[in-house]
Amino acid sequence: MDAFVSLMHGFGVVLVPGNFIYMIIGILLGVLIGVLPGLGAANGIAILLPLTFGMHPTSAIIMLSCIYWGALFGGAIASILFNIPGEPWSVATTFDGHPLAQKGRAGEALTTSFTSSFVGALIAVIIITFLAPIIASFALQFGPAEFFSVQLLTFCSFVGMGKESPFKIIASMMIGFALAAVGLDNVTGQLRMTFGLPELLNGFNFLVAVIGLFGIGEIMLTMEEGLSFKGASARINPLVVLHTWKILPRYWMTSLRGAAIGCWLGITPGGATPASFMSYGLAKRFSKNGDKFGTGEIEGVVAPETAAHAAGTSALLPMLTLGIPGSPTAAVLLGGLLIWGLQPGPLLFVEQKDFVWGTIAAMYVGNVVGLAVVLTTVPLWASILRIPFSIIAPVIVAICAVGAYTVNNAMIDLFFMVGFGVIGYVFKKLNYPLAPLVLALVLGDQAESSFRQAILGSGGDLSVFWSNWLVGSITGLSMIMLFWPLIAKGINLLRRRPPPAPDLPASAPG
Amino acid sequence: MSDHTDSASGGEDNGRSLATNHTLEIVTALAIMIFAAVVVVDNYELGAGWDSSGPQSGYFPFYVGIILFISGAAVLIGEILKGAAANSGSFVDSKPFVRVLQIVIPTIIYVVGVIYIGIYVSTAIFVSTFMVWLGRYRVIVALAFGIGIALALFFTFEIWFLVPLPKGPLEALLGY
Repeated sequence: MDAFVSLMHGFGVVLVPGNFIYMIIGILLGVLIGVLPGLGAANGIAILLPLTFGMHPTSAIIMLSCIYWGALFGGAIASILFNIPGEPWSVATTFDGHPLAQKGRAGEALTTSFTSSFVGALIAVIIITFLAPIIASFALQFGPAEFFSVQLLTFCSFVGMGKESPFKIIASMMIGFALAAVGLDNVTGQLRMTFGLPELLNGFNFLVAVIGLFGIGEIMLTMEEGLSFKGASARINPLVVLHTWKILPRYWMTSLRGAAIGCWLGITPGGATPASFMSYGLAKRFSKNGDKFGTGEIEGVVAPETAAHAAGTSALLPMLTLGIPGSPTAAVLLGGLLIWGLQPGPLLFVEQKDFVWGTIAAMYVGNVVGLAVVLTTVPLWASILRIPFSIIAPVIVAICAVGAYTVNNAMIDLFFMVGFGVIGYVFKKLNYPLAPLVLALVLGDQAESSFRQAILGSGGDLSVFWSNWLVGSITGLSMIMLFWPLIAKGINLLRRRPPPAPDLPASAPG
Repeated sequence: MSDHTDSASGGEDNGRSLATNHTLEIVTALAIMIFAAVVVVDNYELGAGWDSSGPQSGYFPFYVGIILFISGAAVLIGEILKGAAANSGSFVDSKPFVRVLQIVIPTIIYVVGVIYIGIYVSTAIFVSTFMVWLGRYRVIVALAFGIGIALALFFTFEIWFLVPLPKGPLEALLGY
């Protein structure tokens, strides 16, 4: 029960008035970010990160993680009322959420989605509370080879679990690594790929990339689709909330399944979006009312929301324990840790107990506060969504520009931001995933230095990644993930052509 | 997951297609390969082998470039083998593309503006112009809104968070 004691200590850190106010600010900003198209959790946090440089790290992560919870809640509002997913992980929520709103049951749909999000997050936080210290103490024994192999596993998982073409996933990832290498090499002090341009000395900052890829790119996509939003009206009164809460326990199995899928895909970097789709798909297959899915089933809202929020939350587990983020948003938070002078990874649990357990406690409190805030402020957000896009678009561009500039106080970053925006637009339309690029850009330097240390120790012999059972099994697992598209094809091929000969005699007598 | 291409072509008249997905796939794959080639060559020249202190600076990025080149080539070959007919969906139609340019070009002008006249004045002009141009708002409403946003930015960053943003001649005139 060590974790429990530490957690109680964490609550003590969080529940001081100052941090509580940051929490509420974070939730409100987060819902706003989640509701507005073009401002997602990842780039919203990237924009606000420079504002936290002067804050205490614990207060900063409380505010930023609350922005994350807020964005997870907020994505559902736009999906249900306006049929426009504010975040990619709320696409599956539109399938049944919007039909419910059209039938005049928007209040029920929203209550369901917020409550399911809350349940998903809560289950994920409980898992983090008890699993994180175990993983961290285990990871304390890791050397450079082990760290590199865990990072390898993270990146190979993208290939194994992504729906996109494996080559596109690898290409996107390698672009991230290449961009991360630009600038000064920390080990030898040599300049890499700067081509004599002083602007490239510091390399590409991943915050600028995130703001461009997700912010500007998303605005371009939204503009392309046209500017008109048509929304259902939203009112939530306490009666509807209580009524919905009475129904929801019926779908406990769907919730539990959604949370399990979410936690799994959040810890391994599958992410919230595939989790929500998978959970929706499974709920549809197993539900009694599966054939009614898509016409406005409460269960069809429960499934994706629980999974998305569970995945979004559990993505912080590998970030805190291993220093490896499970999602782009977690990657941005990890970048924050580095900026605040904290070295993410297992040592965090030893050296920065206040920070770690404050963060985990803030996940509990933040989600309770978040649920209360969104339930009471829905009409406000719905009215923000009615603001025409011709106002919202330039304001979001301006906010992105402020965010990109404040990272390094460099004008050149504004041009990089626009460049990344165009790349993000083209990549999204051609189904190149953006998450591997961002994660590679964040982890590039770390991955490279652990790789170098590992092979330096072995004198350039790559077998160091198979040198003991631990590193060997992680590397082995990575290879399975990397070649999973091929393996899956092989399995399919074998299944489709079952050997016909032995089957026949079995069915013949009779 | 991202079916933007489908939703863009649904129902309304979007004008003619400017480019097919097939074309864009090939162009993007080629661009990736060129980028990869630059990475490989630059890091090879820097030294991608071993010296007395271990792996040289170019070692890791050199192999990153090689893998990038191979994946770009794989996408390219896959796309060529598939043929133009299999992926002939429109990447972007003329009318949506005009809408995309309506945000991209002003954004570029805005970014250049930030350098010369500072972020606050640029933001006010950018927001107001956009509102009058695409939102058909009255000039006075748009101006009030644009200036309001700029002031909100100013008080949030410059005053509250003490984060200095790029300023131009107007701010200098006002003593900032």
